[in-house]
Amino acid sequence: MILIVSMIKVCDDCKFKDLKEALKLTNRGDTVLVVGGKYVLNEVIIDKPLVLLGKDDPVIDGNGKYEMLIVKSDSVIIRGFIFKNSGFGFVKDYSALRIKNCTGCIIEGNRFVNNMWAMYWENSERGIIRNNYIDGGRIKGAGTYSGNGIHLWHCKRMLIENNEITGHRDGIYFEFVDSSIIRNNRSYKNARYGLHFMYSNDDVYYDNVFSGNGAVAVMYSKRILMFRNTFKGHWGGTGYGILLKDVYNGEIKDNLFYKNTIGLLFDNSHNLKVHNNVFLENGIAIKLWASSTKNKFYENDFIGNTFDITTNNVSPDVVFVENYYDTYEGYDIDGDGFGDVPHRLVRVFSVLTDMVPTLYLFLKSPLQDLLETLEKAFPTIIPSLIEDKRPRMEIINYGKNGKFKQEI
Amino acid sequence: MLKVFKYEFYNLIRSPAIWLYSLFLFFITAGFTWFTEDPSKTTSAVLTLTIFLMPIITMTISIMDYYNSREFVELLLSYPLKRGDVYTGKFFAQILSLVIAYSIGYLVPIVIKGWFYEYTLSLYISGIMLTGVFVSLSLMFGVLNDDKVSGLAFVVGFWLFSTLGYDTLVLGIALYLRNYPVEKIVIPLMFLNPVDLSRILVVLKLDVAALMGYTGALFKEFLYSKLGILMALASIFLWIIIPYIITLRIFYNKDW
Repeated sequence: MILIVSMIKVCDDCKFKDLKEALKLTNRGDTVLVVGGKYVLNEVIIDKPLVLLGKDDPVIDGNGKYEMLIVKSDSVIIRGFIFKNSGFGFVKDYSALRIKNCTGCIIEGNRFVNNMWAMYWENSERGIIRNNYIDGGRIKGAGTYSGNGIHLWHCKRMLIENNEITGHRDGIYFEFVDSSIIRNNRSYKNARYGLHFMYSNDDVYYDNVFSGNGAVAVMYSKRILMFRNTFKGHWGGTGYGILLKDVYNGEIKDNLFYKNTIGLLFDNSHNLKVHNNVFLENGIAIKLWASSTKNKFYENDFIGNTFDITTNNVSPDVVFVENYYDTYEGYDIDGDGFGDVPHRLVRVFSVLTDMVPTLYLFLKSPLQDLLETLEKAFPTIIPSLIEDKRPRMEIINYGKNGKFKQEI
Repeated sequence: MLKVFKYEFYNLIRSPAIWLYSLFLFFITAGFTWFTEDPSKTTSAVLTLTIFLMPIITMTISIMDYYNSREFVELLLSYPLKRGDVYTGKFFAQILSLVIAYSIGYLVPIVIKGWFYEYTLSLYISGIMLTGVFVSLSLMFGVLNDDKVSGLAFVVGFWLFSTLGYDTLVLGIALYLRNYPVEKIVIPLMFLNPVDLSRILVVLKLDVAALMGYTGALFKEFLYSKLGILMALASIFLWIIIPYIITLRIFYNKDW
């Protein structure tokens, strides 16, 4: 078999002026170089391995009506385009770029502006999504009127790195996505979640920055590894750093949680290790529902949070040990770096507000201070099983070797 | 009345107690602004202190001033003056001088920093409202009790009740009725206590308001609706006007 690979150039003064026509005439393995210009596409299908290169910012436009490009082949590379103005609708999910049943596709260095969905991957494997800038352009009402930035459904072994995503419903959305890596992305000001896992297992995300979204939600997933991420400014009635719901066997380490209403929420999540994180100035650092079991929290820093831990009840196999708490008032006589008196994690006011949320109206009242003082003198209300038997006397992670300082 | 007011005002503004109070506020506010660069944290810290200490300081200054000037008041009453004018003059003189002291103590550090935010402003307004309420109340306690000690006892008693006792009661009610939609009782009850009302007014503007969740949202929606503002103002106004009227009546009928 003879393989002839050719390059087709598309531009305003070239032989091919229309990208759609050019794509029809390509053979397997061809390269299509698009130089500048604006191309309105309506569900144009790429059904063979191709390289699409954009030079001088060619625009693929959906005119606010169409789904633009659909890839139905393996090994397609798309680089350097601007995808703009996909259709919007409630009946159909319009996506600027849809990728179906593809192995080894690479989407890199593109800009996606003002689309309902930016990228929608289905049934794909070993794809790479890299260096893209994605702006849904819909901050207000994006929860209902917008789709997700990077949407993956039934995929495997994907790599998502160095992307910037904002203004969508969810920044990155995983549904039935296994064994994939998300790293070095920035996902901010998305209407719902910065990153959203559903039924996805064995994934890892690290070195990402999430800010000003509703939350990062990890749901119904197993063995997720989360490290060196920053979660900041998830503020408001439903702001969470990470929202864990039905998660099993994960690990959360070396993350920074800064200024979230709730840093980490555990809802029916089991067997997670949470260590070496910094919880800084959150409303509630960790909210732990009684349904969560066998979780272990160690060597974390709790600094400047309004409440460190709130809970309705704690399963006895949840362990807090060797964390640092700025509210710890014990002493260390033997000088081993650990306090000699256990630290009670839950404060009386947060126990009361958990029983009756209305009591948050007493926030910052003299009564709140009085209750805390009374509780210290006569420990009665707090269930004593929630305590850290070996609280650290000094900060473990925050600011060590300049760690976490630059993210703030 | 204006003459009495003027005289009382000049007298008060020269008294060291007022300036100590102002200085105290100044050092607290300046201290917090100095140590934390975050205006929201400063406000939150100053709020806690203001809510707790301002009532007792204001009431003590006000009632002690009343007791100290009793002989002078009696002297004034022997002149052909309306009794009501004597009292009203004193009332406004006290409020004005305390508000000035408060403004200088609190506002100067804030203005220097240029921290003009909704919450710094609402704390200022809350402080003024509380000053009005507590001056009115403490004058009532003063006129009701000729004995200094029992007058002060009333002041301290009311201070403890309004800052701690009342909240404890509401807390008890809320816990007892926790299986019912308890916010329907607690929110109106918060409107009845000026200390709670002015605290929540500020807290709702702060970041921590997000923690209040559903109740906070409900309260905010109500408080910043037309009816809510009206009710808040009415509550504060009643706390000022009712003791004022009572005191006025006693003042008229009192056998000096």
